[in-house]
Amino acid sequence: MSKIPLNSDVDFESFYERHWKYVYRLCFTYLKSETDAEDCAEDVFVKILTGSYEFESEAHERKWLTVTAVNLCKDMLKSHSRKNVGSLDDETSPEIAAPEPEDYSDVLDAVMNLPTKLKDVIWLYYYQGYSTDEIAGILGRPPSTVRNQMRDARELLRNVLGADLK
Amino acid sequence: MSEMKENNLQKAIDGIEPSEGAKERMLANIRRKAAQQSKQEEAVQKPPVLWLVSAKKWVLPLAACLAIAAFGATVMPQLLKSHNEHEVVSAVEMGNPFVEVKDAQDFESRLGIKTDAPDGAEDVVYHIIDGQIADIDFLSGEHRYNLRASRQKDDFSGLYGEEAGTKQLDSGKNALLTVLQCEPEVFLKITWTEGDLHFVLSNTDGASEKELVEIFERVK
Repeated sequence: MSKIPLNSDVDFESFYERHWKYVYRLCFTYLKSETDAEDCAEDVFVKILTGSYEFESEAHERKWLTVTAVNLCKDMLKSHSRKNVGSLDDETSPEIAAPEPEDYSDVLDAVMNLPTKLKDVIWLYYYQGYSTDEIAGILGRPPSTVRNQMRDARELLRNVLGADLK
Repeated sequence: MSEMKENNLQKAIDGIEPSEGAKERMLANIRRKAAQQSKQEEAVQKPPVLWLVSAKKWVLPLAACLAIAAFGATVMPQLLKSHNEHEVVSAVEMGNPFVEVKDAQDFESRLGIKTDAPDGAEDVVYHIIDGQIADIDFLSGEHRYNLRASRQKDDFSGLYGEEAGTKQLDSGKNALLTVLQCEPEVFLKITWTEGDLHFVLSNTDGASEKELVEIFERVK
């Protein structure tokens, strides 16, 4: 079991190097804004830098980062909604569009526009490769709920992207 | 989701590139936010010291100087350091362990494993996990089931929970039905072996033991 020492710049930088882009991408799919994604991703790493965490493996690190980032993104979305500054989750274009490969922008748009609870499961299943049971454990939802949400998400994606989704 | 679209989704997400300088900018902000947070926590924990009040004329400028020095010492090397984003292979670039395949024939050709969903199963999805596990997700009746096969000896069911009971099934394949308690739900799995292959059939959406055994009898 490795521990990330709080006062070790070298270890933290190594941790940051391994995960910063992943956390940024995750935040961007939720917040659809480069500025907010950077802000939220920074807060994830601030937690690491100011807390005391032990990880058994890189997969464990990734799981922790995923849960923390998703929760912070949801907090930020709620905060924006409460302040009535316009939902970040609306259907309009991102505030600042991140560079995207043209061929896949439709897929990315479709995923980014999914309801948050469906985005969770799609991200974890298709991008992280977790099983629905593992996703249930990570998100604290019953596996049957996760499976239903997977089905709903696939249907929404199929409606947007065409008929070649199961 | 079809294999092509699944790859597209992964490529789409991998295509999200932070803007230039984001890595260094974020790292600097992380250090600044962490330092602020630590200061706030210290301020809450420590009561004000009287001598600071009388000496604030020189303490505040000194603190400002120290803060600038600390900022320079921690952040500037990061800003000045030349980072090559490709030097470190990010974990995010690791492949998705789930690879969707067309049908059970792919298991045979790629893994040498012969297994399939029972006849009449609907919404069947085939995956190969970590290049070692054949994974079939299917609907039968009102429930979804998962069937996995591998030469791995470790538990590859993907189910977590406290073992609440086991029952040996009379099938000649050393088949064992296990009830897993994962509050508030109960999961069921049947494990068995055939030669060097290990199988696990599971349900997590409330199928009865009888229903799971019936599926087992059809796929074993």
